[in-house]
Parts: sequence; structure tokens; C-alpha cells
Amino acid sequence: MSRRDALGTSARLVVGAAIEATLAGCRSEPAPAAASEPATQPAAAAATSEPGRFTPEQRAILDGIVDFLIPETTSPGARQAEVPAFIEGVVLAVLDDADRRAFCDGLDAIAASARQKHGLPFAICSPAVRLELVRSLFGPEEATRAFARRVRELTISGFCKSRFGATRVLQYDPIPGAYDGCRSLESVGRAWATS
Amino acid sequence: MDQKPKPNRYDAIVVGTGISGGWAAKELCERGLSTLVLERGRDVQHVVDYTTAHQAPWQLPHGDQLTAAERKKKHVQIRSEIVEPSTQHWFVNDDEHPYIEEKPFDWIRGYHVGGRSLTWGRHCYRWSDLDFEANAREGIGVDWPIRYPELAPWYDHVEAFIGVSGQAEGLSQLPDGKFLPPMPLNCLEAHVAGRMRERFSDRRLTIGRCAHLTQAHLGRGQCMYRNLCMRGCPFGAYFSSNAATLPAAVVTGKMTLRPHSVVTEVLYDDRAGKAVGVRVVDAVTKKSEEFFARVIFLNASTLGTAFILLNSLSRRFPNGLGNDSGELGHNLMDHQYMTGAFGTFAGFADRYYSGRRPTSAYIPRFRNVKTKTSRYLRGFGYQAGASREDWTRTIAELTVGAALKQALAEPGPWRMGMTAFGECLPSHHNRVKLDRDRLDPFGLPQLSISAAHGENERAMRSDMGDSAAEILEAAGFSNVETFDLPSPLGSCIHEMGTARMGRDPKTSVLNAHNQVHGAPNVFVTDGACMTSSACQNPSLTYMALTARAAAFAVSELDKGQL
Repeated sequence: MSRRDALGTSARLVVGAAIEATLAGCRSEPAPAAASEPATQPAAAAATSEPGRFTPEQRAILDGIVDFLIPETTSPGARQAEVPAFIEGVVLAVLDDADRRAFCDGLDAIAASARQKHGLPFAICSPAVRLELVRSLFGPEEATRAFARRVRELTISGFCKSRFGATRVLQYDPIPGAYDGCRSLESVGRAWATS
Repeated sequence: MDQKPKPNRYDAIVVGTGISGGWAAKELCERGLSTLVLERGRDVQHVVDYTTAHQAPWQLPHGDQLTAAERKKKHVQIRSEIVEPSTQHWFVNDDEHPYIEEKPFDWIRGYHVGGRSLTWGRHCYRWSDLDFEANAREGIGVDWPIRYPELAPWYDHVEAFIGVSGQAEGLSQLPDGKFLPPMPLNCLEAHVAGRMRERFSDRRLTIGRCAHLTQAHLGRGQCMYRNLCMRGCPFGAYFSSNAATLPAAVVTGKMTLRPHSVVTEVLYDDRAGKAVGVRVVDAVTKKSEEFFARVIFLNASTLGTAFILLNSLSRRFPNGLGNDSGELGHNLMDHQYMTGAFGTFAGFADRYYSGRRPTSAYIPRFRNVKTKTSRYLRGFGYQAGASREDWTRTIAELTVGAALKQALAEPGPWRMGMTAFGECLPSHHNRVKLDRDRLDPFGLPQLSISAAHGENERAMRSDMGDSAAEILEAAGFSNVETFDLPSPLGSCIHEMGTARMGRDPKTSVLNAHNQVHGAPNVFVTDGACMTSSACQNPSLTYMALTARAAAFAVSELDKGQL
């Protein structure tokens, strides 16, 4: 299932499966250990090939969050840069158990909020409601502060390490060839993606 | 030399292919010795085996972060914070190589051809007689049996081959070398260097003296400023055994390289009264085999060599080869570090840099050089670097949406950080021993390490942070903060000592030519040989001692002395 479909045709599937979805997926065991050869394909491929890890609802919420933080403008945004898949991979394989559970709880809290406040699963709420649910995550509420910080960190780092982020919003030079330690900012232009 | 090679018999054996072992191999082979070079790990071919060297950030798993399972496999190595998917193949799986921490000790290592010459920091600073004389002047440990003028021609020899870029500064405590053109300081570093000259008569900031080529050199290419060194350099632009010394040994036709060869002991023939070879356990087949040579160089790294010597028992040496003194395994040192300062600088908003310079700036030791401080002996240097804050600064901020994207594309304010590297005094109590009740997967006794920094290190430590803050404040930085994080032995990855050089066989393990006392055809020239630690990064000194000892070994062989 393409991740971009999560908010469209598969939304109806989410309604009936909503209750089971919150019990499975994100809280399951971490993804299997990475293969010993270094990855040659983008990190996203490994994560989306594991069905049922994040539920469709959790993915829809994550899509909404990254889109809010780093939207498409004249340059690609976090969703185009496949940041949700990056985040899912990191949460499931990189974070330790406590941090993974906290992250999943954070997504599920938004899902619960959608049902409580609007009587609907997140993915079926209107765009305005979804936006408000995401925006309030980054508000002053103490309870969601830690999750908000974590998802912000993962969104920004996932974006800046993505091909779109590193080359279209930031700059990346694979083989600079020389070092100039003091040139005009204007002559460089955008910030470097790596140091 | 041998005319007809007998099986398993060579003119010389070198144990280890790291930064000093590669030099022993090159020097002995170039002087005509048939040399068996034993490496306990797998082979690593230059360029071919640098599997991650060209991977872009988006091609690395999870943004180049290890999974929880991978971190578990390398649970000690990750304490170094340099182990990532792009470099993890250069670090051991810790459960395969257990050791005992009687006190905390971070043993950071990789077992493969090239060893830590692939992952080192490339900083190259000469010692001076301020360092070589210190033990004798202050009554600490034992006197070094050599002085700078004896080692200077070997520093020259090593620098000329490996290529060290740097800036001559005329400082007595940091002798100038034979440098390739220096890498540039950036705007802010140059500013700080200038302010330091104005405000502090005895403190200097200079560009790092580093084993990076700033021009083509002896067939190796110049640095491309990617700063991905630890993955292995496809241009051969920084010095490693793989890029430089081992190819030089291969060219002679005299080297036999045998990976997967774990040396368990030096074989000492009690009847003949000399060392005759080494025992090897094959890492793959687990079969034991013996190899023989007239000269043996131990370059298995400080703790690897300590193990071999302690495990080499004979009637002549019941407590380990060369251990008449009882000092073998003792006087282990490591620099203390993980302390310093950082701050923000409001200027140069319209200045930026391009290219990724693979070295930092350096502030040589200024304490106890011209004037003594009463608070502690010896001193510390800093690795310092300025940069503009990158996208990671936005994580702690509150901007979202298009404004966040805008912020990502703009470099943040200039900042500078300084991390101190402080000398560690030798202490007999800091030691390793073999625990014959706890065996590793090869059936060998585990190394048991008991070592901690002492009173002099503690007395020095607050000054390491405070002096850095003083420099930043004098240069006009704001929000200056010191930091002080745990720095157990091993964490600086400059562990040295356990088989110290000295003038007296009763109080040292090696003589002035790195020969084991009582076993003159066995040489130790890796970190184990060090009698004090200074504060300079030690690899250049290991290489110089190795080249000097190899030349001596060959001349002794020619004279029939060995």
C-alpha cells in the first residue's frame, strides 16, 4: 500500500480496524537486525517492506505531523522526502524499548484525541481538524512535550539526511576537492547538509 | 640472510599491521629481510574494501545510526561514539573479545589489516625534550633512555614518507616537522589565533598538524575535503598502513602477510637462550602453528602486545617475556580528555566556508613550559574548531513549516569548541594482568585491567576547562561554558605503557632501542613501549620509534649481534 494512500481510499479500512490497530503494530518487537552488508538502497525501502509495523492510523498521524513541520513549498517537504518511512525505521529498529514505547504512545494519544474530541479516527477527520490535532501537539501542553521533541528531532534529521532535503533545501557536495575557510555567505548560498 | 627459505622460517616476524606494525613491515622489508607479517584479523585491501566510502547520507541505514541490536553487539565500542553503520566494520564485536574491567576501561579497537590506522584522528605532533626529560626531572616513573635529538631524524624520516601538513610555529615544546602546506584556518579560528597572540604571550593556535596530503605525494592523491576519513579514503589521502606502508612492503617482494593469525606467545628457547619465533592460533581453523625468525617485532597495539609478553612464559622468564623487573603490564596510561569549553561568536555573519576540513586547529601545551604552575605537573593541549551551527540547532527551536525550511537553509551563528588532551602520569598501580580462570573464545586468558587517573590528573582537570573558557572570553565569545564529561582510561584511545623503555633492566622492560631486556632480538615499538604519555597524540612517535628500531635491528643482524 502506498503510504500516500493512507489518507484516501484505505481510510475506510481504518475505521473498523481502529481498535485492533492500537493494540498491535508500533508496540511489537523491533524490526530484525540489519543485514551485515551496508545498505545500498534508501533506508525507506527496509521499513515499508515490513507490513503491520506502524498501523495505517499511526502512519496517517505521522504523515500529518511531518507535513506540518516541513511542508512542500517550492521545494519538496518531509513527506516527499519519505521522512515518515525513515522515522518508522528509526523508531522500530534504532530506539531502545522505552523510547520506542513512548513514541508509539505519543502517536496513539493523538489517535485517541481525534476519537474523543471528534468521534472519528484521525485519517477521516477533515484536513482542518487533522491540522489542529497536530498543531496542538506542539503547543504548551506538558504531557506531550517529550513526544513532540522526539518527533520534531526525527523529522528534521530525517529530512536533512534525505536526498531531497540534503540537496534541494540544504546543499551537499560529495567531493569538494578543496577547503575555503572564509568566503562570503552569498557565494556559498544555502547551508551545508553535512560537516 | 637466509638463502634457502625453510617452511615457517623468516628473517623477521612482525606482529600487527596497525600504525606501527605497518612501519616495521616496510622498514624491515626495504632493508632486505624476508618478513612474515601476522595480523589477527581479516585482510583489508586499500580502496577495494572501503565499502562505505562513497555512500551519501541518504544511502546509509537510519541516517547512519546503529540499530539496538547492533549497539548491543558493540556495547563497549559504542562508548567511543565513533561507531556507526558507515564505520562499524572497523570495530570488534565485543562478546568475541571479552576483557575484565576491574576499574572502568574503554578498550576501543578493530582487528583487521591496518588496525586503527584506518580510524585514527591523524593528528601528528612531535615530542620535545620537555617531554623526554620530565620523568627524570620530577622523579616520576623512570627516565626515558632517549632524548629528542636521537629521535628527530626519525621524525623527519616518517613525516617525509607519510606526508604531514602543518604550519611551522617555532615553539620549543612542539618541534616543527617537515610539513606539506598547511590546511587553512577558517575566519573565526584565524580571529581567535590573532587575539591569542595579543592577549597571551605563551598561547598559540595553529592548524592541526595532520597526516593528510595537501598535495600529491609519493603516488597518493591529495585530500578531497570530504571528511569521511574513518570510512577509509579512496584517494589514499590520509596515512594508513593500507594506503602507504604495507604497499611499500609489498613492492619489495619480501613481505608475507598472513591475516587471521592470532599470536598467543613469543617462543623462547631456554636451551638456546633466545627468542626463536611465535605461536599462532589461526582465527578461522583454530589450529596452532609455529613460525620462526631471527628478529621479532611486537606491534600488536599496547594491550595486544602486553598480552603476548605476559603470556610468553619460559624458565628464563617465568613471569612473562622481559619481565625481570616486575614492571611488565604496569604503568598503563591514557590521556585524560572530554573536558574543555565552547562559546558563541556574534561576528562574521556574512562569512561561511566550503569543503569539509578533516582536521581541527590545535593549541599546544602552554602550562609548565616557560613558567611552572604549583598546582600540577605537566600539561595539556587542545583540539579546537570553529563552525557555523548547522540544521541540528533547529531541533531545539520552535519554528515550523515554511519558516523551519527557511531556517534549515541558513547557517546558524558561529561557535567554537575546544577539547583538552592532558598528560597522564605513569603509576605502577595502573596495570593489566592475565586472568587464567576466565578464558576468551580462543581459550586464551582474558586481560584484566585495573587503571584510573590519579591526583595529578585531577588537579590538572579544572584548569583544562577554565583555560579554554579564558581563551574564548578573551577572543570575544559569549555564552561561554565549560564541559566536563567522564574520561575513563581507554576513552581517549591513546592507551600506552605496560612495557616501558628505560635505562635500567631492574625497572623497565625495554632498552633505548626498544629491545626487550634479556631478549635482544625481540623489539616492542607500539604504544606498550611508552615511558610517559606527554599530551601530544602519540602515533607519530610510535612510527618514529619503529623506524629507528628497525634500522637498529637490521644493523645488529648485519653485525652478527642478534
